[in-house]
Amino acid sequence: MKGEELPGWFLHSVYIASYQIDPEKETQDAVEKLFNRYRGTYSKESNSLEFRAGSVSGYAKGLSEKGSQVFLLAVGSAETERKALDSIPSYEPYDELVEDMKEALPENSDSTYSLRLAYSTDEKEAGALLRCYVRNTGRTLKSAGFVRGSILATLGGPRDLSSPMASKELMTVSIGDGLGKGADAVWTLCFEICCLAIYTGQMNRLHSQRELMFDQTDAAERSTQLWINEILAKMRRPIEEIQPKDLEEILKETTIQFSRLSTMASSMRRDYVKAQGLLRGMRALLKKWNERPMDDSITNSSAEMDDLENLMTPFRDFTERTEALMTQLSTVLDSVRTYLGIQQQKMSIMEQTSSKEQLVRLVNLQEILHKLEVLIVAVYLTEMARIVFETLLHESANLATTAFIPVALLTSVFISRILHKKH
Amino acid sequence: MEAVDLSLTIPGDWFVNPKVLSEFYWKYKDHPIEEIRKVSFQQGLALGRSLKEQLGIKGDGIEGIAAVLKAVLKDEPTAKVMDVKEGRVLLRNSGFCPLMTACLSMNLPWTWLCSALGWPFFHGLGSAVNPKVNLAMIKRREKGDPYCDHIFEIGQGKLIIP
Repeated sequence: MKGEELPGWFLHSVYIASYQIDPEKETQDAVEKLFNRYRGTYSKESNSLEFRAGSVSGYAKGLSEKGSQVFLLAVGSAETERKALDSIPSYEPYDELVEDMKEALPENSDSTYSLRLAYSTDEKEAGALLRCYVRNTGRTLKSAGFVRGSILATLGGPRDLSSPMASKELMTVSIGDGLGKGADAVWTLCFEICCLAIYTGQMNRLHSQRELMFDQTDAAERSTQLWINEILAKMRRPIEEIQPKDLEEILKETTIQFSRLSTMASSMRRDYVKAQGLLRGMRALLKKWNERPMDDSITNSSAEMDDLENLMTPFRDFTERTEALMTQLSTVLDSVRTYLGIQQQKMSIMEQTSSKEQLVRLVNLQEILHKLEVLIVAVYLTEMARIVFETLLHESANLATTAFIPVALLTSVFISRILHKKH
Repeated sequence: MEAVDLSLTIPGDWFVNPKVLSEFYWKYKDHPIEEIRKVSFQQGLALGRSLKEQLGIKGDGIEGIAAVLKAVLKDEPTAKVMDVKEGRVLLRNSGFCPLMTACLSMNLPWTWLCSALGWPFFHGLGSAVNPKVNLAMIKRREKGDPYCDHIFEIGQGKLIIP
């Protein structure tokens, strides 16, 4: 840590835990709590504490970064009390103090790293120490490599937890006398593991928030698929049997399902992009380690990246599966639209046929009206002629009127033609 | 901790309204779950009573409960009344349900919202028809079942979450 004096004693046991910062909750800082318990040298500014508990020395530091809080609890012994090089110390007193200090930490950490340290004179001896430790504790070696002048190993075995990212146990064998630059390198490694804990913690949290959705993907997908199949079966019925009301209902439900899947796919993609950001950050951090493999073991950097990528996979799978369902729903929507189009066309043809018939009826009616019109005009002319004949001819008026009827009819036809020509 | 505000009014279509779900969560997340369930139950009860009146439901039989549930979920393709017989109503919720969608998009806890709001609200709806109705949540997606079965049966008026 730049500008901050780090303890000069030898680290033996380290515990790192990361948490998400809840801006709404104001709680007493864990380091302050530890100060109230163990006293020692506390710096509020750097949020760190150094103290002694009997022959064991303790150090605690709180860091806040990228919306996360990480606590480093380190325990060790002074040089004079350090056990000989090239041997595995008894971790009991250190672990006891770490366990005691952990009580001050908040609950529900997103990720934890437990780290034990030993010191060795050379690489060969360091490898032998690590193998000895692994054998004696009944653990397995998940990954190992040379990082910052130390062998760093991730342990697996009986104490493995269900979530590989949530809690990890590491063993470090520092090569050299553990003094000067060697001590600095060990502390640097510890703080880099703090950064690693932030990334893995954030990824764990993101994954655990979505775990139920991932677990439910199969069931939800099956149920939606059945629903799609039912709709498609309905659509396969003869077009005459599908009522516009049914189509309207199918269209409404399909639109709801489509918009819901669209929301889910885009939300999950958002989370996937967040996860990719964490992966990039972690890759940049691990690149700085420039880790060299030990024997035929997979390096810690590769193992960490693999674990993170494994946690990212369900995000991508969920998005792809919901998008596949969306494609099917698009087909359903297209079918419904096509059916609606055909129905509309049919209705339009029916309307056209009906208008045509109406037009024929209107034309017929018009013709009848024209004929009536001719008759009415003829009657009217005959009546007028009769009045004239009665005045002029007296007794032969009826004969003249009868003789006038064909003239009246012809005149009426003539007038009617002239009048209708104008329209 | 402040007392639970009982004057809150949740719209009947809260399950498709991410804004309402989000407000509900941020308002009640730190309250004891039993207290919040009482609020949700009362909201369901009020809506159920109003629907009972609108639909002209007479009596306190399970058919009335089914009718109220169908009215509330009429536009919801993922929740269906599957069975109304032998003194019980089975409401099944499966697929990509609206609560699942809202929780994913707004980053809300799905299990908490089902338990604090969803189930007591539906129990309230049923209780509007018959106050002695039990709602048993035997199959729940939050515990890994492929769907949520809401079983309404006349009993002691309890919400049973085994």
